[in-house]
Amino acid sequence: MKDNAIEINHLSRSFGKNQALNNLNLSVKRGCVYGLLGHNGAGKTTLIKTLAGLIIPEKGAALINGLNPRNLTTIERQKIGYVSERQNLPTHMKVKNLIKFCSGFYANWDHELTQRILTQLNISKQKKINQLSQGQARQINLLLALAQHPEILLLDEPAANLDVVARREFLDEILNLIRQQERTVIFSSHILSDIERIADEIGILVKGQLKISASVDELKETIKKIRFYDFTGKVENFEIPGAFTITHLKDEILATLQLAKPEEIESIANRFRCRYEITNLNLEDIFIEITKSS
Amino acid sequence: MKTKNQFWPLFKFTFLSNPYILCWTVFLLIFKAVGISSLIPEDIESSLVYNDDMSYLILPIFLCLHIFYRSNKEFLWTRAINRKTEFWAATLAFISIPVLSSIIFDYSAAFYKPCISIIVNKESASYYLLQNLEKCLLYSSL
Repeated sequence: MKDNAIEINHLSRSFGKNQALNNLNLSVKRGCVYGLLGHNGAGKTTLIKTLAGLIIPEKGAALINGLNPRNLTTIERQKIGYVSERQNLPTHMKVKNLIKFCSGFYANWDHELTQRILTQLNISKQKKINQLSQGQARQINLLLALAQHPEILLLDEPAANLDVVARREFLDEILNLIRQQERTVIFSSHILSDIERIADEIGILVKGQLKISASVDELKETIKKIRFYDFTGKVENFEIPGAFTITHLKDEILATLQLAKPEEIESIANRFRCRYEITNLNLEDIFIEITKSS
Repeated sequence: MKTKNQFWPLFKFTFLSNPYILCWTVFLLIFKAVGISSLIPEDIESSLVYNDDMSYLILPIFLCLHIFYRSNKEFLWTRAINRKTEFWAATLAFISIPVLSSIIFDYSAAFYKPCISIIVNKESASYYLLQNLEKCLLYSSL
């Protein structure tokens, strides 16, 4: 079995003039919870739908379990769970009929887990999908994806449109369920706190391109905002390769950089003959700085 | 890993999840039952493609098939469903709805036609009743 559950190579896809994905490369290790961050329209849904086999790439390839998601057999598809950003469940069906319908397609459907989650969520099996609240419908959607015991779980904004309390409960639920068994999870959201809580690794998508991909701790440790000041000479051509942003102020310069080693900053300050001050960034700041750079 | 037979659950799903096709079928069959001549002038009627066969149901069937796939693609295609089985189950369900409706309508014509004719034509119900009872008996004898 390959180490990577997901491999994406030079993936591009556009819709008319809108370039949704632009030469995107990504690999996600087995057992990793990967959070995709990005503004609306950054390409998160297109990427997840491509992995689910719902969208055909124009260029490049997306492989899930080493296979093209468009050509999966029913047995291979049993290993993949998908929760859509939209409410895509058939609204005319009762919860019990929907579960019965879906369970028939999976050999290892967990009826015990289904019952346990339904009791936990306090959702009546007799209710129709259109009688459920938005949060309950999303929970049913997640339940359908989890009860099949997938190896890979694709969650596209699963907690969108939920209020703060419902979202927190919902995410706790997800966390409990995915941590119990080692699953690879791709989780998209534009809510940073959600991603920070559950993701092992984070990828920030900007205009269809993956700007950065690393663990939350690594991002916080390496991406810093630096204030350069007390320049001894005239500042000309202040450029730092790979900097996300550089802002020139009256007597100082602010730059957001990814520092592989802390000593790097010392050499930059020596080069421009100035002093410096490092500010740590939280995930929200990092996200804003990275998206601002584009 | 074996799963259950997928055809009949998918057939049932398609059959029951589509109010569009049922509405269209019922609407068109009522239209057929009433008789187009009672609603529009003769010269216009002759230029219309509507006739006794069910060819006029092809367009709504395709339209509904399209709507069905648009609204359920994401739900169905992300399950462990065999695409070929899904296609044939959906096609059979879509064809069977108007066919079954038509059979039921033809057999029950004796009962619904007089009611519709009273509303639309304001003609004698007994005439239609007799005419369609005869038709019904003919069907039964076949």
